[in-house]
Amino acid sequence: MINVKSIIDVVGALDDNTLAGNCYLYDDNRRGGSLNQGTHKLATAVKKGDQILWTVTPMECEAYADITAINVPQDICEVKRYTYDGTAIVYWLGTVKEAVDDLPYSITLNVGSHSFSMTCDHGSRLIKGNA
Amino acid sequence: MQNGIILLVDVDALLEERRVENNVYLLDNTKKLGSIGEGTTDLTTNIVGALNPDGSIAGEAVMNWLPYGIAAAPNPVLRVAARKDHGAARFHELLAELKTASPANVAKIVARHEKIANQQECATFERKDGRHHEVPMAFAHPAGVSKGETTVSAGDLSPLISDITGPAVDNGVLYPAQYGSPDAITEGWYWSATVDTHKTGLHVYQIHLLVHRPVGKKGEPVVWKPETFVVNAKINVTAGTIANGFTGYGPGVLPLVPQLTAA
Repeated sequence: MINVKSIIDVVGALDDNTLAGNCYLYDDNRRGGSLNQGTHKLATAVKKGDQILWTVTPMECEAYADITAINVPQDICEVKRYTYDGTAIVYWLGTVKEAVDDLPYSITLNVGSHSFSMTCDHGSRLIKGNA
Repeated sequence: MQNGIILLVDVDALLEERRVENNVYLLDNTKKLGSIGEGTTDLTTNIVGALNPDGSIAGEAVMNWLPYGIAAAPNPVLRVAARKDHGAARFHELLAELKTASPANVAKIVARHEKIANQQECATFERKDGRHHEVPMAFAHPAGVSKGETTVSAGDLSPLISDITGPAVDNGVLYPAQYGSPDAITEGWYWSATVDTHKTGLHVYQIHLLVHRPVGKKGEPVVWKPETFVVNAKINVTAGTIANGFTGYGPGVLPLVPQLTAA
């Protein structure tokens, strides 16, 4: 399983009215070929059959951010929303159904106490990993 | 405002490669105030101090550090997973015993079942001195994840910070301590420090990052063994006279238009 963690600078995103530069994406597959760790252009290396688990953490624990959608073609990566058993903590789980070469995708979030919807569509993608 | 610094760690890669670079990432919430190196292993956090006109500190600058594992579920998830659900079988067993019990034995039977029902699954941690202690947490499969992922790995547990040291502490710029937090995600320890913003300039400090490696032979219980890595970081302390954020001048009353009253 590949874990993708989004760290959101909620104050910065609301101030700039964009997640570009305020969304830091990381995954734990750098050794498998992922690129651009810590940017909104994270390229996660995957292969057919891999599962991807997305979570979000606001940069300040008093701020609020929540993933409302992972926008990716469902015939290539089928995603579903879950909560961890016994908690209200959300994660999104995707299953890679076809091999990918370079597939852009975006993450939609509710940001801030008024749940302002913003989409991080500035370059995150799924790419073919190391052999 | 409080300066928040997040340490995001690829724990599995850190333990395999044994180097902080490219495995520990630092982020803070003061990019707009001039911090540089966001998201890298080389972060310089800008600390802006506010002084009164007489030079005394007007407001304390506070720093907070929170470590997260990229692959780890939040700590509350691990604690909730430790609470066993004994299910209907346990309930029926209790009823069966109570049906045939004498009145004198009912309390004993209830107490025994209550003790079993309150048992929690525990993970065994090893301290640096070699002693073991049990912590009620479990590493359950998240729903939907393939059952092929059965082995627990170091990345399943978020790292901790065990100390903050270095020249910035020795020279009285940072005054760090560990605190408990009710925050729903970290749910536990975090480090915080006040900053003497009289001491302007660039100061280096070290974060002692504590990760755990699960060790166990097949068939034996896993023991989580500690390893510490040192992460270098910097703060750049600047200070200026406190000003009213609306007017740009000294603190005082806001420039409001006086309300006219009827003659």
